[in-house]
Amino acid sequence: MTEDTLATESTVSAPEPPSNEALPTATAPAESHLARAAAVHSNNGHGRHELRGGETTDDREISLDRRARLRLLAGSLIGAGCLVLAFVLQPGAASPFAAPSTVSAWIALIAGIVGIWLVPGLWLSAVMMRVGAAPSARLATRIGATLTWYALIGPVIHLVADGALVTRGGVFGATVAATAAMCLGVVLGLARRPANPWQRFLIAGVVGAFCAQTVIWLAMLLVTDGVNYGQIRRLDWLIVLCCGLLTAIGAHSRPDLPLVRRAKHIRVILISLAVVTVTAVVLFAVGSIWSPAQRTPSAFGAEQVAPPAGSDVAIALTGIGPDGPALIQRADFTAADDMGRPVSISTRLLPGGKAEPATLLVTLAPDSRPQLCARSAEATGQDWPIKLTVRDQTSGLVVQAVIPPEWCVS
Amino acid sequence: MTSATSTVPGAAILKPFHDLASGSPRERLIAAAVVLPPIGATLVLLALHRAATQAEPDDWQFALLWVGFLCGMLPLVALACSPGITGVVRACALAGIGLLGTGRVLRLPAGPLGNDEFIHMRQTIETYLSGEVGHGSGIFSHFPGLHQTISAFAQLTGAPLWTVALVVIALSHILSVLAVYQLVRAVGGAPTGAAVGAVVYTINPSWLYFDTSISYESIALPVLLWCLAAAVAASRAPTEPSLRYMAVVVVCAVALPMMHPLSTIMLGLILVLLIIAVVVHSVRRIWPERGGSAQEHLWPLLLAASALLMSSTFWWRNIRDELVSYLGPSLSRGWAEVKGFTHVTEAFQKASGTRLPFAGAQTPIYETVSGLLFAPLVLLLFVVSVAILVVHRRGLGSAPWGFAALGALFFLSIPMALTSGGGEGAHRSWAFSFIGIAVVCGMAWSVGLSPAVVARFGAIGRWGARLAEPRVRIGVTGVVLTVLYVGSAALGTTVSARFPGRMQVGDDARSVSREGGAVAAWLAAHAPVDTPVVADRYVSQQVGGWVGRMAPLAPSAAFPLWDLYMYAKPVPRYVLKQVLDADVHYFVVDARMATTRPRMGYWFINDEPGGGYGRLFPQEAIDRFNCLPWLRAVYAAGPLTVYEVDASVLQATMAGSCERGTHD
Repeated sequence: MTEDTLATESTVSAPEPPSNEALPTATAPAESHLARAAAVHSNNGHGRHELRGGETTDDREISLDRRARLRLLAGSLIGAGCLVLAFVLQPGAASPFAAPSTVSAWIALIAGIVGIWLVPGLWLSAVMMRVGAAPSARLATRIGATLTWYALIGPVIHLVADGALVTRGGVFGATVAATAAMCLGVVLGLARRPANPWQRFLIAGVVGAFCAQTVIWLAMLLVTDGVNYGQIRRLDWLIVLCCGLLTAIGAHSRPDLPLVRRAKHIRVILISLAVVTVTAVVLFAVGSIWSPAQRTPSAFGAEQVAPPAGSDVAIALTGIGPDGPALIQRADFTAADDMGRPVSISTRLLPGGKAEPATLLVTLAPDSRPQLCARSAEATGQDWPIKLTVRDQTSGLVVQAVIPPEWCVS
Repeated sequence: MTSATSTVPGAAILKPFHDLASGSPRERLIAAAVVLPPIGATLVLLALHRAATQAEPDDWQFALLWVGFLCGMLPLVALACSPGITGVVRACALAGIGLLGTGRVLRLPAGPLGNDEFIHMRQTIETYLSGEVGHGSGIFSHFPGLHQTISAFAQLTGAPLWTVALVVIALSHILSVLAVYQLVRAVGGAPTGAAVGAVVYTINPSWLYFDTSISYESIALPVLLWCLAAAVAASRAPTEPSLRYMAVVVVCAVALPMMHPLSTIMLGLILVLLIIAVVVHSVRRIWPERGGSAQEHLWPLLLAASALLMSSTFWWRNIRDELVSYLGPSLSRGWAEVKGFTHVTEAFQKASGTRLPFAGAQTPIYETVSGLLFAPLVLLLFVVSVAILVVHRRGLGSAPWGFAALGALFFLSIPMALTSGGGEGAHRSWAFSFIGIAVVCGMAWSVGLSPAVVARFGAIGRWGARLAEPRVRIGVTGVVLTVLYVGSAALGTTVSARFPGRMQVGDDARSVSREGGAVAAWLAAHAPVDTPVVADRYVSQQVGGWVGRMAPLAPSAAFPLWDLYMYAKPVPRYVLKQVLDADVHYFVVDARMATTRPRMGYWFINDEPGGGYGRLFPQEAIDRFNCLPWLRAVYAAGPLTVYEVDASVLQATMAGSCERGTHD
């Protein structure tokens, strides 16, 4: 058994050595191999090494490069398509706390996950980033590129757009636009001409910039409803420049994708995914029966509401937690004025419904009027409301109700 | 015919299971690594369930946790470190180690726990809902990397924010293992040695719990490791390094300063160490007799350091003072206490203020013993590894020595960890210093040492040489790894942060309550976002978190609103003025302040009057909230009462007590 070596579609032309994973050399791979190969190819065959069947190393290199480009293109387009699908299907005002509840929301979720995994991690790790060639290095690069892209994209937009808010559309638009520019570069890289690397780079950059500008113009012309192009208009040159640069990089760089996976690799990956899935399902099932959540005691909440006729004060009581309603039933309310002196009251509890809170109706004893009203009058002569402190002797809950000053007059 | 061909792939996929009993040792190991992690994870979940139902921690919860964790982890470790497996299998095993190490998230099915998680989720929800890049003025708002990532993932998928946060942390945790593996490979380690290095990194006391919290260092640390792997790979390239490595370095250097300040500073220091090592190495290569080792490139490291410096200068240009005041106190306190140890006479006097490891801990005896054994065992591993590297020093290059210096910092931090002031700082440094230990151990495993050489060193050498026998080696490695995992968890965090259990007042990890949630929801429904609210630290988590979205004001010596809670004497006029100036709309009062000592020893901040001793507040002060004319208890949930401030009445009366006519 062997570990993957520096095995990429475009570098491997010999069987893997029967040893463990080779040390990562971090050597610069030639960045414009296709152009170089094309140049050599057109040079009457000088310097070519002939393989079996008349195929030369240059032909093979070009073929591998093309395959890698097409694979990268397919993956990136699928990823961008999934992001678009997720963007379109997502309900407008989704709660940040709620799980998807409709079929379209679930499709959007799955498409979004696929999209995030493919874009922009795939092209970043294939064209621009690398920490090694082994599968673990590729996985690390894919995860690292994805995390840093989505961590950076918001602050960068915020920065270049003079503190603009980073909306869902902003993140989505920047990601898809960058992917489109890179894909354009990858397509342009399929051409054999021009052979000069710098010419290829410049031409691809110009084409990318031109396409970006055209798309912006067309968008401004055709899509006008509900879209504010203020920031895009202001940052037009920067967007065009970035798209041109990405297109040039896409055309110039050789995609560094892992070798087409063999059956045993696919088997290992499928088994790993199956293990993760089974574990998640089992944990979900077990956790729903034997929850690991912190146990928190039940309680109930209290808040003054408008009293019905015949009552002086009404307090809505809401159960919090499974035992909340029982706690309300067991509550023993007393009342005091704001100095803590007891006030005579009679209470009545109106049970609530499933969604309705229970209501505590409080009637003040007539003999409490002098106590409460004198307190209000002696304040500073101002017309302040009278506070009645209601306390549950069982749980210690304290809430205050306001008695309007008119109550003293009546 | 058709059915026969269609069954072949399925049979191939299930082949490892058929080999469980009859296959080769490697196949049995693969089968174990497939079957046991789900079982282990389930046992861990049951351990947490057990803990949640107990009033006090019991032996069963610890036993279930460790049986589950080791049952899942050890096969993956063995598989990742075994020779002769494919790169894909090794990558999957390493990713599995990272994923299983995220088991703490099983404790978090519903939402955040602890101060940091609430703060970061608040930032995240503001990013998600309004597109802000950094909400408010707290130090966390200047480091939006984690919040942006979670928010972007949630916006693009439509998944719940909390679930996405857990996924991001799990991905980061996987990245940390893979990046350390790649770092050791970049330094020159073999795949098995690199896997050993990655496993050694996972035994650092922060990895299992602290680095899996929904907090900014949980994403920054893996990015740091990824950056380091690329920088080291570029510096050790035999020819001109690929620009793709430098792209990783530059992107990480740009991203890291807006992810986490400490990780940025530590990456800078690590790069300085590596630069010094390369310079020394280059100077030594000048002498002919020292030649033989490969040339190394200095410029990738210099570029990385320069990019990091420029990036941090840019991102931190407006927050330098805040950063100094945020990072400074713990460093200076710890340093002052360590300096005290250097004076022999003072050291004895200070011994009374020294933290005793595991004093009052609720851990079982085997965790305590493992925790005490942790540092000596790691030291032994480190010393032996360095000795092996010294023996095989030719051709190793400079990086292992730079990382050895980094690893040595772990042992230097131990005295600081024993001080009350520097404990937290030392603790936080371990995730970084363990990078050095991991690289050194991984490299030592890669170059190896012949048992014949070991056997030359007398009786101990002969005993040591016996460890090379496969059965003995597996047994000893398993036992050592078990002790180290158990010890690191015991050292890493408290039992209340590791397990659910009885709710405890004044404990970050256990104080999340239904009534706190109800108060937060009530405030969210009745007050605009960012309404100033004064509440204790524990209620503030929920009130200022992603549900309440208020702006909790933390009292301090210069802003002593705690006077209202702590003292029965009339509230000073200047404090009342501060209430008006700060535009406080609500006070939240916990009736238990007068009856229960907070587990962490304070209600607001560590430096509050009487902080650290958990003194009870006077009942008169708590009752005063009911009678002050400018306050009214508008909502109550269990022991929590929300008092609304009537600013006009306060301005008119400036009443600091309930006595009428004495207000002015």
